Amino acid sequence: MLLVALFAFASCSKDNDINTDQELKKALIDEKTTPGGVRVKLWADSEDLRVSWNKLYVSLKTSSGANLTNASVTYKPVMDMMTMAHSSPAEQPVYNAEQSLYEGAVVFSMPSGTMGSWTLTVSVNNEPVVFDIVVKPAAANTKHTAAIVGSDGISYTVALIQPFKPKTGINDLQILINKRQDMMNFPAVEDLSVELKPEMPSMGHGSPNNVNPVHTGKGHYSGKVNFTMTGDWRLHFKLKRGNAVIVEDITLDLLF
Amino acid sequence: MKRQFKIWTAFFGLSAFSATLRAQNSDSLDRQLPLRTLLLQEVPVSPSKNISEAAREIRQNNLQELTDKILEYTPGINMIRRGNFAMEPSLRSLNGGQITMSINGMRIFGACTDKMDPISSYVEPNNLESFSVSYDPGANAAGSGIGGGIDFRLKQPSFSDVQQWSGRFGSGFETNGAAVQTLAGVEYSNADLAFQANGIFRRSSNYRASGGREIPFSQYRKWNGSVSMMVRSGKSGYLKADYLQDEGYDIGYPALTMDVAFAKARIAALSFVRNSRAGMVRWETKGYYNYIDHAMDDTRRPPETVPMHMDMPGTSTTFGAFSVLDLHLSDSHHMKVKVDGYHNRLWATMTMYPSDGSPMFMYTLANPVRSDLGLHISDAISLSKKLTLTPSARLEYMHDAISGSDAKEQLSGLFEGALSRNRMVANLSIAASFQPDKDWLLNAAIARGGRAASLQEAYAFYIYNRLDAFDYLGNPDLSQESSLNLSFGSTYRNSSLEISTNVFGYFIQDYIAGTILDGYSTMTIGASGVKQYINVASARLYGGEVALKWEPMNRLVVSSLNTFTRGSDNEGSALPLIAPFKTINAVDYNFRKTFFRIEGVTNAAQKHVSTQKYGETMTPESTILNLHMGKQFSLSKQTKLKINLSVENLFDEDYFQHLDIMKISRPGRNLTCRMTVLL
Ligand SMILES: [Cu+2]
Repeated sequence: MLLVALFAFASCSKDNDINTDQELKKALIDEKTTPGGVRVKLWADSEDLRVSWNKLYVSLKTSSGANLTNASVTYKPVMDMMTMAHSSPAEQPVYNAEQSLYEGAVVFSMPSGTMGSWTLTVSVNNEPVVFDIVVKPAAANTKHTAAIVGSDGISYTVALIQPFKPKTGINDLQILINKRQDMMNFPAVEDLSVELKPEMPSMGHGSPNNVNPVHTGKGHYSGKVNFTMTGDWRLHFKLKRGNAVIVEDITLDLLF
Repeated sequence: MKRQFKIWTAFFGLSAFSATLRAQNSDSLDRQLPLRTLLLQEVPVSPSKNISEAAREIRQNNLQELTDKILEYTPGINMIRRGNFAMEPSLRSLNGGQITMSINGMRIFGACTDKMDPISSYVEPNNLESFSVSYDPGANAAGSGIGGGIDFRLKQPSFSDVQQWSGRFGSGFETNGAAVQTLAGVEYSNADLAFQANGIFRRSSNYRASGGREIPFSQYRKWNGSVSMMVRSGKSGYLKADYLQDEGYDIGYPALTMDVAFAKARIAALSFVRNSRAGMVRWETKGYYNYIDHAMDDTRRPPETVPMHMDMPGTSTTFGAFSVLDLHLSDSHHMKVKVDGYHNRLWATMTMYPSDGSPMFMYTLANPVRSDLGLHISDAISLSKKLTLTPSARLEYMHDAISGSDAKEQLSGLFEGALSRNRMVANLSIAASFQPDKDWLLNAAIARGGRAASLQEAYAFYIYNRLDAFDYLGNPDLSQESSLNLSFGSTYRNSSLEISTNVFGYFIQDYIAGTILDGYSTMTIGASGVKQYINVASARLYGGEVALKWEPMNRLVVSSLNTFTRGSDNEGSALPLIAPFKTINAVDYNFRKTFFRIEGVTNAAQKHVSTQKYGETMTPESTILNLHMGKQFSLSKQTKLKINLSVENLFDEDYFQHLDIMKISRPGRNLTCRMTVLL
């Protein structure tokens, strides 16, 4: 027992060394150990997870302190709303050797609160650990993810990936589109064509020289958006499958 | 005789009350300013100017009239009016980047994206000595343009053999708008040092159009101060320092959607002048700096007319230098060589404050910077007593760029690729003047003019144009606008009659104008759409000026100044901001330092407009009548008191002119009383 404690202490302090290194870029959300003794640390780009597309990373260490680099890792976000539970779109992690991190992403569709609470189940080689996650509401006057029922009766989710830090001028635009198969499954949608129209709601004007996002893989759609000035911007998306309009208008709001 | 025909625009001394103005002026030039004769000879001949002097003289001699009005009564010049103050001069209906405007040869660029601050607003009659108008692109030493330019020459002190002090102060009142002017000036000179300082303060409340109808937001308040000092350096040289500061506050622009909170200009120059061989060679080298700071203001407008409050500040910073050599090689051969350069940086932004939502910020001019290098050569050769040829050339190289990464990023949304441009412009001309006998002078000129797109035309970012209600986008890829200018002039003069006529035709290629961009949404609330500057294949401008002066009897002078321009583009559509026929007819009577002048100003109707294309509507004919009288009293040997009384728009006509943006009525009857004491 003492030995284990010592071991844990040793690995902890060792971990800390690595953590400081990583802490330069990432914020530690929480850490857990799998039944098999793998230390799972959950990281994000900032301490605050919000109602939006959030990049989430895990680092894995075996009980001997070695980095575990070839595990199969999955994310499963679940919101427990007392009477029901639902999941949300997630991008499953893949290992990034450069950072020694597994990188994935989760779209949290609602904030934590009286309505319910979020958990994220991270499975490492089918051994789950469950993190309690606090999801904060989107920053004031912004909306980085939205859901709407399409003309085909299916609910679609659009989430903003880029621009993370919008600026005036041309920005790379990337969105993630998922559909709700059932309450627990939100697969990526890869067969849509997207039309983009930015607007400044307080003035009603748009901007020229935008490029409609096109599918680049795994539900990611990439294009360009031109912000002629700072302030509140609304991105209007029209989703089509072939010639059929699936969603006439779904909007995301940005502020910078 | 010859000199009278040569170049000069006007030397408005304070010796105003004389029917033999021209002779006097020439005398004073000879006596006081031997070194300046050459300089004055640089400017191309425009005989009609001599006739227009009387009108200008009267407006300038009390040192209080707005420079705008002095310009307005000059043939060939029309003023674009946005308010009761700071009108923008147009030369033969060319304006903006098509002509150059300079002060003592210094390039100064306005900071306002709405053209509220033409540089003529920084010159006041109490520090203005003269302005020279050049219609000839090749002979215009100040810069490149297709229509020549206006150079304002500030008063400068002069050395005197014995120590001298002189001064002046004065004040004036106008009933319309309860406008007041107050000025003071002092001059000191001795053999090695000359100094002068001038200041003026003026303010006006809202003016009233015909019938006492108040025009809201037409007030202004400003002061202007200038100092000039000359120190002799060596036997034939002197060092001259000039500083001018002009600050306007709370200036209303009834034709625009915003007013001006402040408009400030700081203009500084240091020159070194060397003369040799009794004025045979004059060499001037000048370094200069100017900074224009401008802030628009919508907070005083009624809330229902301001859909959203916004701040629109702008600045313009210019460093420059030139060196000019005047060579009086012989009586029949004058040459001028000038090398010049400047660096101008513009900055203008807009921040909008919606009632709900976050402030919105953008550059309207995203730090465009122009670096410029020019070479000018002009050579006047008299082939015989009768014939003088003047070939001139000006070459100019410009490098335009955007400074600052955020500025570049913003423009990345509009323009692809690199934003900097190199531009090369050549202006060439040859002028001939022929004097077949002592009564006649004929002159003709052919010129190739060219001008680069202005920084606004190249890089504007949704700049609203009130004239056609479109937001304008710049276009860095504009080709230079070029022109072939033909002009012909004649002057006949005998002892009692003088008639000068100029006719001209300008054949413009790659005329820069806005074209509608489909599918672009407007930035300005209520704008009709978005336009971008493009090169229109061609345009044509023709017109002329006729000036007549007749002295039917001693002391009585009848004069008539007439200006006409007509312009159309390649599709035959009328060009915008083209003034119709304007005629100013006056009778002057001078008697023992007392003068009377009755003056009628008529603008014909302008029906040649393209509403669809350029957003202009027709303007009816207008005529007003003005009366002026003045008297000079000698209080002592040196001290003189001048009193001027005038009634402008005697019959209280309700009128506006074609270049009045938004067709806001001009002032109704206005009585003015001005007094100036010369010490
Ligand atoms: Cu302005």
